[in-house]
Amino acid sequence: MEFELGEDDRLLVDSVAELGRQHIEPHAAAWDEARALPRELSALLREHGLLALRVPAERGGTGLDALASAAVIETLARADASVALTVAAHNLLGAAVSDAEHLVGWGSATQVQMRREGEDVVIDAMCQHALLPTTAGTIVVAGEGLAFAVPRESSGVIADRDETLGMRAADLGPLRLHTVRLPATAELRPFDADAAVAAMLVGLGAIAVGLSSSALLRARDYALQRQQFGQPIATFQAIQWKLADLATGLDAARLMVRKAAATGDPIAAARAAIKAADVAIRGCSEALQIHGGFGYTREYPLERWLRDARFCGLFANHLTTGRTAIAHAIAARFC
Amino acid sequence: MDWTPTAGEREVEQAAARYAREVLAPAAERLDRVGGFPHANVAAAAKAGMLGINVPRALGGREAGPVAYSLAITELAQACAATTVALAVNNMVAEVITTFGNSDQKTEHVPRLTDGTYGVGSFALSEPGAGSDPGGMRARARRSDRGWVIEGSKLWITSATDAGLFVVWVRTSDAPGARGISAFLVRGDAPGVVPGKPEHKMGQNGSTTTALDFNEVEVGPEALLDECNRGFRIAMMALDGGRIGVGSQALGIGLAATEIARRHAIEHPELAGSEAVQWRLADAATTLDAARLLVLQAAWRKREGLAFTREASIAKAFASEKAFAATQRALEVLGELGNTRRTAAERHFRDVRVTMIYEGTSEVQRIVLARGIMRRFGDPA
Repeated sequence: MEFELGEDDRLLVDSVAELGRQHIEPHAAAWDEARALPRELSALLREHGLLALRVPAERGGTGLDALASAAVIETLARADASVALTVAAHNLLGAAVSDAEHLVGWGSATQVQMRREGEDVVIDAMCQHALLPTTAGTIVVAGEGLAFAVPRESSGVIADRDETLGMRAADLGPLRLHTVRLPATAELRPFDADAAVAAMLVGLGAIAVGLSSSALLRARDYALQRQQFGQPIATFQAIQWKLADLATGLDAARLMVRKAAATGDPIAAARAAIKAADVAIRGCSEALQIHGGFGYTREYPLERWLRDARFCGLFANHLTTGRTAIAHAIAARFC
Repeated sequence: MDWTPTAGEREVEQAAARYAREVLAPAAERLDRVGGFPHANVAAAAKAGMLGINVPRALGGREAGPVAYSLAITELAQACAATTVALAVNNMVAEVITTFGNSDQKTEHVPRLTDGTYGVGSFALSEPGAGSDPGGMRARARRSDRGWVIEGSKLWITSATDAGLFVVWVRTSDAPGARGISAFLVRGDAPGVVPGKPEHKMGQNGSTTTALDFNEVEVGPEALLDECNRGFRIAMMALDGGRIGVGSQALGIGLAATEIARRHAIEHPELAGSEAVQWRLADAATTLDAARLLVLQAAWRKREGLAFTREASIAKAFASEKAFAATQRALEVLGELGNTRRTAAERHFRDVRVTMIYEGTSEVQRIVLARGIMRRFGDPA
């Protein structure tokens, strides 16, 4: 299987890395503290084609395939996971639901009811944990085989924003549709819910890989520089093994995410997201530990990365109802 | 082996539980948001008798012993880990002065620590370049006509913004490493004692942690605690006792997070019926029970006057790591809800993480343990 990016994609990823270094990473701590991303960020993302990752070039989009798209998300996550999550959510449905002007959000609904009234549909739905519920222009609400593109300004859309542990700068919270009347065209048909979930899981996996990779580099640099007992702590085997384990997990997770992106297989996506999140949680925690007391302070990014990684784990498990989907797939194949 | 707490120890545990329920719990979420030193909680702790649990009655303490102390800390930490650390350090400062102080020092300082006159007491040991390796410290005290002049910078000082008394470790000779270190008692309001700005931390926001500068701080000869150049063993004794405290605290945080998850699961039948949920709770129960026994083992040995350095290290490393894991399992039971502030589990997750770091990281505990273990192998007797 070939997971290498082409020349054009690699250049794009490099430019996203530069964007991250220049304009995102320096502000990540402040955005986390403020529990919000600045409005101007959308314009910056749009300018760099990040709000139309999967839209074909002939329609004015960036025209990336899933593999390159995952690489872009991973790269953004190295600068700030909340931004990467926002971009991943926005691009979730690729060209099917795209908006160059406003963000597109996502909500998995636990209960959905729809009735037709003439040319309209009237929807009731509840999403406990939606993505971008208060800042998106349009929110795709999906559940029970139905999916709708809901303009947030529609009457009856009640969105709230949670205070969160991880991804504090991202817009996350409950979304309720209370007898929202929309034209029938708002219903997305056909809608491949599995593909949407798979895309989200690949995005989460890519974010987790980005976090692991940041944690590894930062911990390595610190371990080489920090002296205790008259020597750099990187000379202690216990520290070396932490770094070795993180590097090993990072390689495995990145390969799994790329395989899932390249194949589009929902089960591969679940495996990748869960593995990548596990590696990131452990890796960010160990990187924090290597930094000692400094790692626990918010002067350093380690504690934020750990919180962000924790979100990836919680969200990935929910999307696939934990490891259940993987287990069912295994049973179907081998039993 | 019988670590069953005595009736007196249970009484202290119950008093701690009452104070935790009535004072700490209602304020915990707000304290986490607002941050800063928990003045009201500390004032109430003096009334509840939580400032000198293992300190003689004659000096204003409860004289309830290390097991009672451990049980109380676990109760407090279930409600508010941040206040707990300020109280725990105060308890240890009072203990250290009771153990190493002369009679003047004891009567001068310990009653003020146990009745809240000092606010709280604090230890000043770590430095920017001397964390896991306190022997690498650079702060110094030099002799003067009137006693000593202390000069240097400390880091990670709990409650430094508001502490009325510090036990400060500094170099008093050029001997390398741990030798040539002495401990001094320095008032928080002494000229030249300057706390830095509180660190912004992942959690335990309701306790302040700052740098602490000593700029030509003049103290009298009576400030020297125990003998000159023999202060390092005082630090080690303080850390041994402190580790029982941190282990007990971590246990409390882990229990609190697990209880939130358990209640949530019971309210949601689809969760309560899931093995993924059940096993997470079963694992938490197993590891936290083990942590409880290890913490009690260390506290019991201390109570009985037995060596407990090894047991305190084991208890601290195990309890902090297992409590962190239990807190993570609790978040997983809650699912995406665990990522929100709709429950206190997210605060417990942020609060518990530092228990694997302060009072000696997990790595330092393993260094301490391995040193003892290898020595034992080397000496067949």
